[in-house]
Amino acid sequence: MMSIDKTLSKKITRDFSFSLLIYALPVAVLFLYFGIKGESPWLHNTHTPVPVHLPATLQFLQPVFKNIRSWGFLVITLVLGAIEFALGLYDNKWTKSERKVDIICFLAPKFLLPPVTAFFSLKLLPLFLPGLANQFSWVPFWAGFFIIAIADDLTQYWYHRLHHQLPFLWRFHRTHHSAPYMGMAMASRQNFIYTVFFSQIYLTATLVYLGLGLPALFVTVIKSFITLSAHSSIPWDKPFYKYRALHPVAWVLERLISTPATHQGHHADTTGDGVGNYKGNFGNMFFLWDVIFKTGIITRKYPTSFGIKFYKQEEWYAQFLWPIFKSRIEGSELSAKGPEVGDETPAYTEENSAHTSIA
Amino acid sequence: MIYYSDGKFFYMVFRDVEILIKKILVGIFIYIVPLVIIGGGLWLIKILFNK
Repeated sequence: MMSIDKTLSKKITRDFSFSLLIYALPVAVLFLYFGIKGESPWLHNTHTPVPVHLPATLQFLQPVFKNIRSWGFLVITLVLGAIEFALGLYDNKWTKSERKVDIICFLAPKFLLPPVTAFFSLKLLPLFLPGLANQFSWVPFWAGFFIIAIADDLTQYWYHRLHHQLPFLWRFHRTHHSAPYMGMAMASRQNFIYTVFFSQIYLTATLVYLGLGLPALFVTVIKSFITLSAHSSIPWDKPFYKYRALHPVAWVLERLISTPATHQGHHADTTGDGVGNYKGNFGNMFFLWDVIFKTGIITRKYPTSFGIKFYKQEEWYAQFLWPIFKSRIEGSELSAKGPEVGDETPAYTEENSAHTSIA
Repeated sequence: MIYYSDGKFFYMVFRDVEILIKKILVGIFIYIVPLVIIGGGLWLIKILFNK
């Protein structure tokens, strides 16, 4: 078993400690806000969930908003996926075995995950946090939005980063990187064990239980769009790099959120070309975390090849449910006696770590 | 912990269970820490301003 390098271990500890301040930031701002305004909204807290009200012009989106975690996300993905197909962006890399992995990873969690999250929200939370339902529904929408956006996405950043940097976790995340192409399907192409233990799902569910339901809904919708479009093979960010007038917007955008350029870099099969950065660019909705923790590179270029060099087109059941099912393919990371990490990388040093730069 | 084995693909061994437990513990840790900070912070706001 590979051990964690001391330098890496120190950097993880240092960065995680700094994250504590980031988590606390929106709460601190809220503290100052109430201090200045002299408001005490909790005195009138009815402890009831806030209903969803969209402006009249956006009413047609209400069903998608309300059902974003079930069919709302499915509809968005299918529409965008259809556009990718129409543009021929999958080329000829979407083979029968890749199709199988993509479709199973896309559909199966839609049926398997809701019972788990429902059990957590409806049974476990009332059991472990009795009487605390909607306790924080006095939090203003703007503050709830920032609390959820930071809590959900920074937690996902850590979950994701640790699956890359701790060797024993890598095989749970490998399926997300195994495809030799990019596309909408990549956003949901995950090993089920990786998905079912997503920490941010349970963190957001807990904050919803505590009364931040409405901000959570808005964050989820925005995050779904950013995540899907970052995984897309449609380079929607290209015009921002092409036209000089848009460069200031690009500068902010590529540092704030994940774009196809930065996230495709994360899915590249190499780091040697100055564009690919599969050892960094971990941000999901916000790229800002990669900027803060110096785990990202910004090149405004797109990799030419994706996936993992040591991919052996493992069976769908091994990719979807490792370690419950193993691959029969000799030497595969997902086989019974396969290596923990296929490309035994040199030890982590500050020099070979990713750093934020603009090519 | 062997469920079935016909070609070493359909089973879990103790090592897998150990990895799974470690993975779950890592997940719980990065769930609990922000929850305590945010929940504790909001609770503190309420307590401090009530005083």
